[in-house]
Amino acid sequence: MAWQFTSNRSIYSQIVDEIELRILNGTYEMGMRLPSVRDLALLAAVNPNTMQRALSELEEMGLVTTQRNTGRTVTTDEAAVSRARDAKADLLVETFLSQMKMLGLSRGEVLERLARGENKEGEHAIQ
Amino acid sequence: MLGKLMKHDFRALSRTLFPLQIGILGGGLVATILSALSIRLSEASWAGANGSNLLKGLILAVSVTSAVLIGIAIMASLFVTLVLICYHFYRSFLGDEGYLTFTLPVSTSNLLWSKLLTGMFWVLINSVVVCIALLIYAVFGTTTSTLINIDVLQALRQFFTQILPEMSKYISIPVMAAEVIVVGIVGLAAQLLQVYFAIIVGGQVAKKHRVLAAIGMYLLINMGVGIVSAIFMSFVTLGESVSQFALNSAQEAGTFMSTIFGWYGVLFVGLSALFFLVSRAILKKNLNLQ
Amino acid sequence: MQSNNTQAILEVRALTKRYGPTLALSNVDLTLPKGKIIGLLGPNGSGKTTLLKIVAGLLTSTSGFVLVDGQPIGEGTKSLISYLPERTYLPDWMTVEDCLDYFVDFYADFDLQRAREMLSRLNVPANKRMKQLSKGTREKMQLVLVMSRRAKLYLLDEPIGGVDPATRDYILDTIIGNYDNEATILISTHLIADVEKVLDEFLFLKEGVITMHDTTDNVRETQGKSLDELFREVFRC
Repeated sequence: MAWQFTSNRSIYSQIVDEIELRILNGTYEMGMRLPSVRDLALLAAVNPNTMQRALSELEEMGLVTTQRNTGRTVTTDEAAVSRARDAKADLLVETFLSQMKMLGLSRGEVLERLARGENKEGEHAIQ
Repeated sequence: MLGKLMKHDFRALSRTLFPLQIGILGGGLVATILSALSIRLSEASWAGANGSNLLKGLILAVSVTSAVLIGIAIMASLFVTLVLICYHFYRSFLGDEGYLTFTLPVSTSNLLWSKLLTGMFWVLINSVVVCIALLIYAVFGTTTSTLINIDVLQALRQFFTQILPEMSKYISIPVMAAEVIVVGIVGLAAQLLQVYFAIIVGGQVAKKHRVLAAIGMYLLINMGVGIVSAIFMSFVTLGESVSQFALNSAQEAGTFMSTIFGWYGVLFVGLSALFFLVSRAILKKNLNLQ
Repeated sequence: MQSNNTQAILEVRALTKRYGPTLALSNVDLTLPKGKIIGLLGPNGSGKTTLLKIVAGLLTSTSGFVLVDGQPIGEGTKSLISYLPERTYLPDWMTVEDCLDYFVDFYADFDLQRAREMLSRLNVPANKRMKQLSKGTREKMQLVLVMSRRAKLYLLDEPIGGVDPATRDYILDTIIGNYDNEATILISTHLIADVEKVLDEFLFLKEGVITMHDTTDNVRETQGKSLDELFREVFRC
């Protein structure tokens, strides 16, 4: 199944996000060898050049490393992954809070809603 | 690259032309058998043998008619061969196949050469096959008393043992033979290139009825060629007869003929070169594949 | 077949093509870099096919010039270009094997092994004649032949026009899967949404004039919209 992209952001940055997410949530395990650029491009149904550019970006972020013999692998540097996870989480929280602020909710109300949301998720899990 | 082009042109042409030649030989054999049968039947009726004359007449009519029709078909095969060669040319140069032909990394000259040489090859093969079919007919299909017609073989032998030696008193047979072959080949080349040229020009002037346009062009070009040839040859004939020959001996007449024949060769080479170069220029400068 | 070190694989200067009174291309200037997949986008009749045919050497221009890897159109450029026309052009009587033989003979860069692999995946038997294949299979077969060459410039004219979604995916997969990043692929189409994910750059061709030439990501980053949305705006009737 080809990856889904939204129309208002560049494909390249959406690929970076997608692969980053897969690394952070463990779909792509640490130290795992990544498919070749061509195969990843085929999987995502995107231009190989775009995939290449996205992977270079991920290398710069320290999430992917290139070895001469084994090709590209997911980093084994746990610190790098947790740094990226923190950054991503901070960004999402920041976005979330600013949107809540736009809705006119106070900080207390937001926290209350979050707690309720967590409970609901727990109930779903029990059922 | 010319070799590869010829290989594929040959493959394309052989697909239709090879079965055609087999058909000619087969048809020739059938005509020979029918003819031999009908001659024997008619001989038998002259002898007043028993049996239904009506049936004999019917068999005779059918056999003779089929033999004649097959004979005509054999002669027409030269035309069919030419048409098939031209159709192949048309399809590879003007049809959808042109998308393949003109994106090949080969020169326009080689494209034309390949079409010319493979076309000539098949015309020559066809001529040989027709000759063989006619010879078989003449030898086996024209006599009643024996299996083979001795007269035909004798006439052939006579040609080689008497007529040729007689002719060689006036002209050199090897030179004449070489001349006939060379002039025949360049004449064939000129003829094929003229048709190819007509097809190319027809494709340039017409968008829809390109085959008709090509035929029209051919007739038009043919008129032009006729006029040019007539003028050229009359100058040549005039020049040769005035300057060199008194034409008062058979030997001089022979040499004269040979010289005129040579000039025809020159004419054909000139026409071939003209058609080839103009065709190539059109394909290079003004190719507009639809 | 000397190689040129300039970065442009295709240079088009002041190219004009007239069909009688009709102006199919008007003063087109164009420089395409090496190693990119580029969309030639425009509605039907905008001159896409004409441009590709001139570059392929099947049409002569009225004025202007074209350089492919620094060479004028001719025998040399034809060995660098792999061209997929809109129509089926392989002779009816040819078998699949005949076609492979043909490409092996004429194109030094033809990868027979790769072609055979792709054909076996398509389940096309080598002894079948073209006329025995369905139109769709024939088109796929042509794509396989064209993409099995290691050419420098691929010209694909409407490769996904009029095919079902599964075939469209097959075609795009074949293009991506065979792409080598030294080569440039120029794809003409009016179906933008289907190809936009594979395009590095795009050209908008409107009534014989190039109206825009940019990178796909740039459109999304600066205008916040997809190429498809931009196309619909620009070519609104």
